[in-house]
Amino acid sequence: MILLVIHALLLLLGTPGLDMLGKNLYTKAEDREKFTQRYGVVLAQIAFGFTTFNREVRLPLTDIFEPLQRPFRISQNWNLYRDGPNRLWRMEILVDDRLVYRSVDEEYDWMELPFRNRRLRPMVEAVIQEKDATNWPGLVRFIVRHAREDFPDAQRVEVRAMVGNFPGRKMSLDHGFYAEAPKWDAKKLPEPEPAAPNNGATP
Amino acid sequence: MSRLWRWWVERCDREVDLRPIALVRILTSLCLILDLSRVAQLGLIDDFYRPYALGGLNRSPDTAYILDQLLPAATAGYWAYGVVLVCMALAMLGVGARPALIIGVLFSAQLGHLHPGGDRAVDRILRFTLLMLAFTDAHRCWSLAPGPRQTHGKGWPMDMVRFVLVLVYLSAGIGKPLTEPDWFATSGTPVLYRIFTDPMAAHMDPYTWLNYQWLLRIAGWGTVIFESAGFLILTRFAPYWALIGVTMHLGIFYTMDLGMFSWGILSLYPLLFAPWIEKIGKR
Repeated sequence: MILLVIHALLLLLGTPGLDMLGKNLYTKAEDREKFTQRYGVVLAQIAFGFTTFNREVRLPLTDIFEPLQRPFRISQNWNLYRDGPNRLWRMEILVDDRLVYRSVDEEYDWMELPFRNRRLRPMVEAVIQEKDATNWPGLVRFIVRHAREDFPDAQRVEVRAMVGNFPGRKMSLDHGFYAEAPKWDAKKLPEPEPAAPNNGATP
Repeated sequence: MSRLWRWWVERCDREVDLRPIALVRILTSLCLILDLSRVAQLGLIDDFYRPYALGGLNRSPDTAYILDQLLPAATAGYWAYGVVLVCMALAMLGVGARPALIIGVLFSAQLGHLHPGGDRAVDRILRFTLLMLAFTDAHRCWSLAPGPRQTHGKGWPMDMVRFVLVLVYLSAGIGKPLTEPDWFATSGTPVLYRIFTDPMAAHMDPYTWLNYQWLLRIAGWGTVIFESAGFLILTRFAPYWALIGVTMHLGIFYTMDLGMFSWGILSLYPLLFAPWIEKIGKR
């Protein structure tokens, strides 16, 4: 009986399809109305049934059992790779205005292996794709420390988040960070002109 | 109803060949050892497992990180790193495996809480598996531990791992088209093209692969169909389904920079190939 309950709980905590639904999905009358108009009454009722079940049964249960899973860090938040980015992003690092690193560029491969390590790569990805990512000061400090070790005469280190349409013929600066001698405090680069909107289409 | 219940009880009580489970014990532990050794090889232990205030990378550890309250904050992460390595080595050898598995999982979780950005889905799946292995007699097969050897033992803990694998694959298969309908698009840029040529996570050349978008489109459909058929893990078709899985994970390993993800998941595949492993064992 215990095993059956555990299987049922595993299913509830990680229900495929529901695990990606937001808590407040279709709670507003206008959203429900729009969905009903677009997909019809029958499909809408089914969809709202799932979102209500998710909100009122599954997520509260997840909250109850989360503390039990926390010591082992096994809660079922897999968030496996679902789709790629709509635009192509690359990190560039310049030491005293000289390019030393560019993502997946054999010519500029300073620190390539650490940046591609699976425990650091997601942090790099987050900082490059989101200008206000929580860990940008930590990552920039990490880069600056290693740059100062490998380029002892360096006076300035700059980290740039470059973005462009696939396949990346024309890239432009989205945001960036820098640090300068002698204090080496990490700062954000001034905001560049806003880039044109893009739907991810390959030119 | 009683027939169904009897089936369930018999299924949970049944004895299974321990060799596939022992293989999972060895391979998952080995994966974690190699993965953590890679961190040391790249000289990143200090960056990952030191508090932010002392120069570490991560600004916001989870609230569940408690080792710094039990040990000096500056060295707590290093201790956890060392304990996981030792525990995984013991688990792999089958020596003191049960305590090693449980302690190893607890300390690996602490490493994850300390550096959440570097603790991925595969870590959670492997920790769950290692925890379940502690309930098996896998350490009595292919191990250096003293004591009697066993070829058969309880199967329910690994049934749970299989079940979680079903949820993982189904979740990926159902989630993909729900979050990105382009997975089934017949025109436009294939989603797999964006994934395989994303310089932040993969290393395929975006220019070269522009010419093979048709291939990536078909591979994308295949991926969603394959993952959505994850329920086959619970049937006798599991080994055949797993053959496709091996191909997919090798493809991911070849094209993307996800570290031990592919090997970690493949280390669980002996469970899916169990009928074939048993056949080979009987010869």
